[in-house]
Amino acid sequence: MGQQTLYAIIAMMIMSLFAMQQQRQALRVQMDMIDQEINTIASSVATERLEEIGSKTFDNATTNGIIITSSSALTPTSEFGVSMDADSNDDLDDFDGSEVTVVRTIGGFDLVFSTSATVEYVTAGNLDQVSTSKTKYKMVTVTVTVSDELDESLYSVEGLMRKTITMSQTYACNSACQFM
Amino acid sequence: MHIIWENLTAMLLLLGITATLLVINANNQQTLAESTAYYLLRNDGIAFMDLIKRDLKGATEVNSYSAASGTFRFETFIGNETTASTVEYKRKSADQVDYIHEEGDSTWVETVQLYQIERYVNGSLWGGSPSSVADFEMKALNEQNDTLQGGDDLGNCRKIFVYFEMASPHVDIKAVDRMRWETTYVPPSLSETAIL
Repeated sequence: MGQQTLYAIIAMMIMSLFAMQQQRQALRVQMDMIDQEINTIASSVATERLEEIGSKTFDNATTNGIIITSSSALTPTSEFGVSMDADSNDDLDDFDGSEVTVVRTIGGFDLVFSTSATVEYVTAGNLDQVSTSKTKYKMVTVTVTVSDELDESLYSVEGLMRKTITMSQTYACNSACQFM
Repeated sequence: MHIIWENLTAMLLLLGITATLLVINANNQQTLAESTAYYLLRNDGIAFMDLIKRDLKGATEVNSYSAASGTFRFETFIGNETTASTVEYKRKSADQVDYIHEEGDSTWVETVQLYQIERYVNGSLWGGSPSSVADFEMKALNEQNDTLQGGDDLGNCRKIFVYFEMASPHVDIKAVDRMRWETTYVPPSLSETAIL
């Protein structure tokens, strides 16, 4: 075999490697699109959960239009959670620690999303800052994760990552809380 | 003999590299077109979703809706307006698109009817969606998430279910051909109606 033939074979090998790299790049772009689509669906699940929780009364003390004049009437953080009052799921903090599974069927795949919610008091001056005392503002944070129950074949492809979406919304007590 | 062998190898090499470069170029163009189409589609979908969300935020009453004809009419306070407006979404047929799907060695064509969702405010056409909606559904639900059929039943509406799919204008799709949004909205004013 002549020297030129050897060069030719080397050139072919380099070309093959280049072609393979290009194919991997194309696959990664496609995986990114699937990833974005799953993110969009997870966002719709988080939005739905926030809508559901946000439709409830601010606090157990303000249900049925009751107006309170002192923050001491509000539910303390230690009593947040689904089982803390008799009428569960009728006010915001009842959803603290709640977990719900949502299934969306997309293109033949059952996408199973695990959602969890936390509720915290936040300070009036900075609605991103968690407060240890009772305030007129509560922040609900919903975390959505694509469940392990998802068809594993979808995740067997390199580059597709399991995503977690977190969305927060702050709710005010408004006229039901007549105190400073 | 040696010269013939070298020339033959060089010719084969040239053909092989040319073919490979052509395939790589075609694949790159396909991927670029597909990803650009998807991101445009996603932007359109998110803009339409925002429009629906803003309209539903101040909804006070659902007047009528029909899943068959794709219409949904409701009263709502838009933005900071002090008077309620009647907003209606109407599904209007647009083009049909043939999507080419490939799986293994088989290729098949899926024909999808596309729609434009027109938005009317107090009877006047005022925005809507692009003409790339493949599926659109809005339903009135009661507190227990049961679908309300219409008429007097709509007085019990507390939630509004929204589902739409937007289809990519790029017909040769390998990864994602749709943007989907599905959420049940709970407009505060619909719940307040129940309290009052």
